[in-house]
Amino acid sequence: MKCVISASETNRVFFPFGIVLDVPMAELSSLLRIWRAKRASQEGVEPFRVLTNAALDGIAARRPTTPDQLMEVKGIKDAKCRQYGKEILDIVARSGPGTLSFSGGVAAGRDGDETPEPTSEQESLAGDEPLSVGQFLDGLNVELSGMAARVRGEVSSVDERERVVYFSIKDSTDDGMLNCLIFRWQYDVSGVRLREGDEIIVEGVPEIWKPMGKLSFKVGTIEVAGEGALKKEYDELYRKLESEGAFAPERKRPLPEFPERIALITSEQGAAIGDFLTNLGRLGVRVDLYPSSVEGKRAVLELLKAVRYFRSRASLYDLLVVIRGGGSIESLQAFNTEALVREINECEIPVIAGIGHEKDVTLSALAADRMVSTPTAVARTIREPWDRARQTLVQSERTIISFFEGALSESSDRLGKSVATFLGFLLGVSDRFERAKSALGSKLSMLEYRLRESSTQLEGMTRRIGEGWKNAAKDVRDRLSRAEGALRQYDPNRLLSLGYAIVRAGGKVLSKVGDVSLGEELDIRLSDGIVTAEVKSVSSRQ
Amino acid sequence: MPQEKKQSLGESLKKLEEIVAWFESQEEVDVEEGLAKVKEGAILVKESREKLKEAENEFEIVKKELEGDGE
Repeated sequence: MKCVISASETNRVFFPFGIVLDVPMAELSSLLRIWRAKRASQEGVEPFRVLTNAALDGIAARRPTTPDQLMEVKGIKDAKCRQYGKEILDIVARSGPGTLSFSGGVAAGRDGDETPEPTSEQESLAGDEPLSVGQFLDGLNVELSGMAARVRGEVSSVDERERVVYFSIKDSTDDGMLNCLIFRWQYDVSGVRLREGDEIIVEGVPEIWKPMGKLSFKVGTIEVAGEGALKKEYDELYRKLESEGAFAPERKRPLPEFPERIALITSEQGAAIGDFLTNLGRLGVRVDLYPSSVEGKRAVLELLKAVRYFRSRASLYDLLVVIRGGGSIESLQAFNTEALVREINECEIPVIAGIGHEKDVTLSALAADRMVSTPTAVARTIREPWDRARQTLVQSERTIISFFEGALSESSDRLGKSVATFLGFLLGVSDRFERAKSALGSKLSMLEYRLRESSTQLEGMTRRIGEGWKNAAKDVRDRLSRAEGALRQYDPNRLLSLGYAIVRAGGKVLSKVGDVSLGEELDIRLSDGIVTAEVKSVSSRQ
Repeated sequence: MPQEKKQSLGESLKKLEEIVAWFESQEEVDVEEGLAKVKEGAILVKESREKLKEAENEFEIVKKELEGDGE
């Protein structure tokens, strides 16, 4: 047989595929899908969020050359055109029409006829060397590799082997059926247990298994479809982990008060990282980001890699931060995956999660040592001890100063009081005046010395702890000089020089007329000497 | 290394709080002893302030390093 396309009935399965799409269109479609996959992984989102399959096929069919033409494609609006327009138009321009992806391949049937006449096929391929079956299948597989897709269906059979899980999905409405396979390790990571009748979404790439000529969909990720089913999965996993004590309060470690190296897992795009870094403030810490997509199921592998990366360097980090913006339970699926929850649960570094969702807290967040609602809240939690410490500093400083000021003014009060007591004593007993005065003098100079000493120390302190000291010391000095003034005022010598005199009879100081009798001898002390006199008469003022 | 700095900051703050508590618990503060405490407090305040000084965070993306690892 010259042409494999008409070779046998068994090839019919993928025969229509080869001819329904004309080659340039198929190739452009593949190029666009490759571009989309790259873009999606850069942005950390699911491919359909970049552009839908329908939009890609629309572009491939229309081959737009201007932005206006591009906007005519269904599913491409202003924003998408601005965001991706140039890249898309470049791709279209580079894939010129009529390019064949492999020689003598499925270029046939450009008119879309599903059952072309073998004769016309042979004619169109006349002069070309026929391909071997293997070559043809290789060619098909090259084409198919560009046809990654997200497919939803109901599980119709499951065959779990040691290294691979084979299963098939079908539509519940018609009899379309797709054979799928997933590697065991990917299946385990996905956290989904396939059961017949379950509605699932698979993402992968179609490929023909050459020995059997059978098309298989090589699945990378499996997710449960529909909120109800997701909730059920979530509840089951929650119960399982809960019963193992994964969420037990006694497992929670306290977060370090002043972490210096912070490990961060989140997407490079999106608001989360900005919110986190902005609200962290200027703490002088080091933040190491392991970028990972955080959207949907496809993020699981990257998240796992990220956590493992930091775990393998656990001693370098004080804290692991896992954040993303909020989302629906579907977009948060990765965080409800058993493998990731366990990885976080077993992490050597204390973990704080801000995977904000109010209604359905993710299991990863529950497994963390601390969970808060948003990236901003995580940043605030981290900086809180710093803020508190700064406050403690200001308050401690203030308290110490004010207490010491109080203590100083109290002791200067006491000083004032003792000076006053002294003075009273001096005035009452003036014959001890000289002695008392010298005693007071030495006490005063001692006090002064003590004060000087204190104020020298105080001056040293002032530089460090501020104003208060100088004032307090000055206050004491003021009080001291006031006390000296008072002392001077009451100095008996000063009184004597003003004309007052001290009169003694028999050595006793007289203050009342009743204290003397006629003829008694009196000593009268004046400012410059003593006069002796005799009492001539006594008369009371009354 | 980071452990050391971290602890001493926590410890400095604790000591500072102890000094404040001491002042608060004294009916009559002895001037000599008070001065000594204030001196200690002033040093702690200065050290802690140094550590709490606002500074830019360092930010690095570590994945590139990883790709070099061939993981």
